[in-house]
Amino acid sequence: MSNAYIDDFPAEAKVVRTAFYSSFLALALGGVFGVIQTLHRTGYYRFIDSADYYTVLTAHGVFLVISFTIFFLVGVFTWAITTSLDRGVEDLRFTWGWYGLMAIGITLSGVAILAGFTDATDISASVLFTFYAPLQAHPMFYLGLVLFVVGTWLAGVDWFRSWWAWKAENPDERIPLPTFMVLTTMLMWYIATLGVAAAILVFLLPWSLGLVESVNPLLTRTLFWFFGHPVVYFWLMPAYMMWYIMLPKVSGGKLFSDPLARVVFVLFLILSVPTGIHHQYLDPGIAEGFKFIAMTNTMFLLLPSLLTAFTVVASMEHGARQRGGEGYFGWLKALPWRDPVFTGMALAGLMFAAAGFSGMINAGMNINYLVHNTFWVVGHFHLTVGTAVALTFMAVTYWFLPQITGKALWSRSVALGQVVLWFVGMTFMSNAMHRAGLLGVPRRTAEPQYDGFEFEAAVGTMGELQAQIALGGILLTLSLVLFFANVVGTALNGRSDDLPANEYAGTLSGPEDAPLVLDNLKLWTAIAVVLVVFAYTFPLLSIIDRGGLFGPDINPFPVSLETVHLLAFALESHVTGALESVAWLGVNR
Amino acid sequence: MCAMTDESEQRREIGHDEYDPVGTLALITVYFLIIALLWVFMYFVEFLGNEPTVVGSFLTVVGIA
Repeated sequence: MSNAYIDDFPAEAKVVRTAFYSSFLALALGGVFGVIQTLHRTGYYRFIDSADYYTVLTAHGVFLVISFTIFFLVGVFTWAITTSLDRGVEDLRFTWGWYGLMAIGITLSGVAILAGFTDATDISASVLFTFYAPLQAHPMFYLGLVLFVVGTWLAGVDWFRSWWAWKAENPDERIPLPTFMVLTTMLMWYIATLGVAAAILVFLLPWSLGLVESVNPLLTRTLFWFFGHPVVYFWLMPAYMMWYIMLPKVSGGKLFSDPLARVVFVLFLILSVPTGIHHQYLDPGIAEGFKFIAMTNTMFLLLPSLLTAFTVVASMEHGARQRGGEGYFGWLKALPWRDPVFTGMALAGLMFAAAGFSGMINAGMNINYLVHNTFWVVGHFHLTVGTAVALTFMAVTYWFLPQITGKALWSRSVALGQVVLWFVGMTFMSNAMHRAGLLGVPRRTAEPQYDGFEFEAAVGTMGELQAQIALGGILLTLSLVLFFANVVGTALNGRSDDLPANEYAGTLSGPEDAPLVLDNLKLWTAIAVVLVVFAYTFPLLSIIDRGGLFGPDINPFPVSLETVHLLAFALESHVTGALESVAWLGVNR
Repeated sequence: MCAMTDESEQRREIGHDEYDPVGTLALITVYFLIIALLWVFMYFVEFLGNEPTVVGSFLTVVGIA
């Protein structure tokens, strides 16, 4: 009998397993669409109609950044809560309830997207992951997204319930680190998703159903980015969690500092949301000053990322030195590079360091003009969500699979090959995308080629960039095939009694060193809300003021400060008039 | 459930007080230098390698030039 997660929490292990398998299904679909569009864009192999490219692009985006990432992270978070609090979920039916809601939601959205490939129905949703108006999807797409997001909200409730129950039994204890990470991430998610909930429920869904005639595109875009930037931290936080609590352990050491980890998650809770406008530097209709505030907040976000770089590398170094590593750089050789869990996460972290630089370029208001809407941005997020997050998730899968299935991993060597292949493939693809973006190659374009115009590369050629992108795409696809071989192979294995125990890293400096105020979640949430109010109230008011709540044509209610003034003036003159007539009556009685 | 390190390959135990992460300092210094150099390089790509952008001239903004 081993001490794996499935032995302690068999029912919860089934939930985590189901969430992971859902996530892998999305990864498989998203991967297929990924390679189709890579070959189409670069012109190597075009077997779909270019009009269908946008359906492929939508499917690639939504399946990977909504279903793959979020299904995986709800699995990880459920594991983290149950393991670190050492208690099962409070009500298993509730847990399956939120999973079911998410599954139904993403199925509706997915069907709406895939229906775009056939003319048999008039259902389609080729609106891309960013679903901006005036692109309009079938109502089923929006409805599915709403159900999916509500599912994640209820998942958060589930985890808070576990924490409340645990706190009642352990009133004087610090929140265990993994639970702390889940709770702060979910608080951030609650604030962030208000934007997308408002965009869909108040505007896009009624518009798609024909209940309102028009929307204010800039308003819905701004609400989308209110959610669209913090969602990247929703993907990233579980990866960070793995870097903080698993990577030190697989490196053979301990987490350098629990207090620093808490500071990082608090900073993400505070700073993730009031930054969304940095995606809209080129949107007319938002004043430069508001963009400047968003840029400042964004630059502050570098702080928790650099803190993470320090803490995570120091924890790895601790492991390496305990394993006998020496010297300024020699310790790197003492790390367990043959372990796919370690190597995958370490390479993901390395790619994230590179993404840090391209992210700084994106975040700078004036420099952003150079790369906005070019392939550079695509290169950037294939390093962040496409590698830092996705590769970390795939690497930890090799640790999680035995824990949640009770079966030994099918092949460690294939796993090692898989993570390295992903790294190599992404190096080709992403670096070429960045360079192509500098030449002005646009993103979201089926055929980025024009009559009488050639992109000119200062170094290398366009052909070479295209070749690198296509080659990278193929390598990534091969890597995915190896990944799924391992997942399926493991599932087909028999139960094993010899599995590693369900443990995460200890700490060099533990929670007893962390100031108590760090655990004051109410305080941090309040500060986060205040910052959001500062960053968004005036931009939103001014957008509504200019373009109307539902677009320029319909102005059903006080939509601006001026209207409020007008109403006040009208009210005032009425009241004064009434008072005057009363006085007049009084005098003349 | 919080547990110790996998001790199979551990040769020595290094506690909080005797651990000095100089390797981390070295690695992060290298990263910082790379980023600083890229930042300088950015100036050449952005401002010297291209026509004026939106920041630059009125003509570009209205699309005459």
